[in-house]
Amino acid sequence: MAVDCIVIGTGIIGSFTALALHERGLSVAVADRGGLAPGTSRSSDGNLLSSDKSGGVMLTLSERSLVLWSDFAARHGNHCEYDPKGSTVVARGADQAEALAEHVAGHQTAGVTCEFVDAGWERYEPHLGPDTSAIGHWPRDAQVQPMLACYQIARSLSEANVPYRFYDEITALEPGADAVTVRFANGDTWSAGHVVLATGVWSNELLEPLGLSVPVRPRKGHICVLERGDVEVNSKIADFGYNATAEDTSGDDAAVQTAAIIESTRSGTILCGSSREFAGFDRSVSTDTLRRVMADCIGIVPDLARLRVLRAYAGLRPFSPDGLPIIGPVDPDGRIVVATGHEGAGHGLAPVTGELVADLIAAGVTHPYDGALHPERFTV
Amino acid sequence: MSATRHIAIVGTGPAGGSAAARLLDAGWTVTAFDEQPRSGGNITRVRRDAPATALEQRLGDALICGAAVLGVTGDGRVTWREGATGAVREARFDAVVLACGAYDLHAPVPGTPAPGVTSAGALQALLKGHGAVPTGDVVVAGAGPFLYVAAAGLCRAGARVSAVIDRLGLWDYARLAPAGAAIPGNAVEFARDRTTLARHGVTVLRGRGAAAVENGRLRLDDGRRLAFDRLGLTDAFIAQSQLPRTAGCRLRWHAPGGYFVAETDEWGRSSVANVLVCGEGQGVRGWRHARVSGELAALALLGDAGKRIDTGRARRLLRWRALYARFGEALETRMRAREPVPPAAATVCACESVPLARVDEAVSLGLTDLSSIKVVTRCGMGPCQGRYCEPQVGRAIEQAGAVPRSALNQRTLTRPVGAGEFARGG
Repeated sequence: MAVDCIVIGTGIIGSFTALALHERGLSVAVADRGGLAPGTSRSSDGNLLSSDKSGGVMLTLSERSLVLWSDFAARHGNHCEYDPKGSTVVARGADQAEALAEHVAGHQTAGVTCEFVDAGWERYEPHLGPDTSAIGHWPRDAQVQPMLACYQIARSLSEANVPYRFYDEITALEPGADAVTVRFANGDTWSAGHVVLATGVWSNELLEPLGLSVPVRPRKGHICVLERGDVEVNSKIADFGYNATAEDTSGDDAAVQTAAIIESTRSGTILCGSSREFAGFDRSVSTDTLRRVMADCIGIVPDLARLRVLRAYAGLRPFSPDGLPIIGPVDPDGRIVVATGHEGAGHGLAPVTGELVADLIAAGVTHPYDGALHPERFTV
Repeated sequence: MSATRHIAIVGTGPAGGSAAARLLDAGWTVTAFDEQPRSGGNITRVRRDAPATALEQRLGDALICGAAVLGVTGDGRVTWREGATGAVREARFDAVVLACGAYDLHAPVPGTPAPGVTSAGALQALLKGHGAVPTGDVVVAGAGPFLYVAAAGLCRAGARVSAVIDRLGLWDYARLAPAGAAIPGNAVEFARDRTTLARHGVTVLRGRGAAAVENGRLRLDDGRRLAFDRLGLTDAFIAQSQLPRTAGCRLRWHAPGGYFVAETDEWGRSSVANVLVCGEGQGVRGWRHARVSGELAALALLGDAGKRIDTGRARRLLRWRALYARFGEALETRMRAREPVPPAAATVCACESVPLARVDEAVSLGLTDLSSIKVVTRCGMGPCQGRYCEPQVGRAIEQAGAVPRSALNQRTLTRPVGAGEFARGG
């Protein structure tokens, strides 16, 4: 089979990329070695946040992506629990309140809609703990059930006759003169003018045999799921400390960092994160880490202590050394395009990533955002 | 190599009980966990107020009842929730024997879930564990010999059982007879329960099944309608596999029974070192198999540690095990052959109210692993964590002509725990 573009990976990045390419009129085929979004998208929460970005390219991308998410839900129907419920960042103590005020002011200067609230925050979040000193509120931040978004896109593209191939391991990418051949374990091949690798932390598995690589590393995170209960969580609630861990790029190998982030889902369950650590590709959960995560969240919303933990899971964020996604061609002919390195912001940045990749492949825009995202920036 | 070891046994039914006894005989240390207030499992469960059994006396404080084991790791850590306090505790052992039994479920009969409708196993468990005799007219329906066992037990306890409805017909039982006849005692038990039912005037309909629950009445597939106050429905037994999953044991789809089961060798060794799975956890084969496989698991641990074991006895146990396994699979195959294909509107996941149609939709996209279907349909996201819907989703995948690829992940927390207690730790 020959198409214009093959997207490998059906997670949130692959899904939005496939959709964007299809909407530009290119013929697209999609493959995943597992089922639907078997990697990081499946083991995450559904944050679409600007509140945790300090500024620069990430904030620009995030703001653009929030608009694209809203467009997606409007144009394709909202079957993915997209909910612009806003986000709340919680400060405790006078120092944090001051730093948060500064963070909010910085966002306001950059044109982001948000406010600093140092009294009466109960109108946003009635269950915050007694040591809350102030909150920041971002009304346009949103939440989504990412798996349902991937599913919605897969169903819609399948109906448009875009092939989706699940459960077939891809054994090799073979770049040729005018096409890349994708070889499956059973010997089948697909070929295309461009191949997009939306394979997150696993991107190097297919690149290394070609002598290529991207400096992406798995950064593990844990989530506890609480049962439905009577604790109202209206927006995404994050500890102000969350911003620092989400943007930390020190790459410290030893430490497990935790910081509270809490979201209620459409079904009524509450997701409690987060942890960050480098533990290779191991996705097993640690009871100790889960306990720390839960204790952090109870520190921000004490009433969570009376709910029950239903289940827990761990996933691997694609960590990029400079904290920015890695989007662009990696081979000399520019036929293999990677889209990874979104760390914990993949859901938020998925639509804008799809747009950038589609710009590149359909219109030849090769250095989006002045190369800040280009894989070449790591090769000196 | 022959030092004594400390073994955790989860479940104290016939499998866990025989494993514990054999290990204690060898002088090893055993800590046994059971979720119920007393030991014994579903088959040999003792009432709350009964005197201590021989095993309970031997184990003493090393028997932890009322404890929900939440997870097991490959390096022998067991995490459990204490019954009395809800506290979450953890301890490390040299090896873990998982003897967690099986549970029963019913086909997604239209009209269920409904008031007064439970599994027949639940009626039996309430009776055995708490002495709770259901009031009013009791109907037991589904498939297989367990229906007669459950109904006879209810009759003996004074319940008013009006009917037993068995999807298996005489022809099915005739087909099972050769494998069943090889097991002494099987036919005797069956005859005794049938006599009890006859003496209590229970109507027995064979080759008939539940088609729907409508307006509080049970409609059969031949159009007959039966009134009931309590309806116990059991169409299939499913091996417990949650704890093997938390330990990272490899599972496989067991087509004869229609569920995922931990892969083991004939001694009960799983794919993870020092984690053994015995009893119904190897596949639903009844209490005789459970007892034999529990002892085999103990012998495997002893032998692997360099202890001398009675190889003659081991050989005999392995022969019995094979015999019970053959009958178990033959019975499962007959029961599955009589299972009805549920209509698209039937509820496959009661926790999250998911209709079969939504599962079919995901399967038609080409998804045939349970985790993918879970995340797009919510089957398995509720409090039961997929215990009830996973076999139903597996059946839907089979209906589409595919084989279920991989089971739901269960990394820890097989049961809900209080968030506060969990965060505080034990």
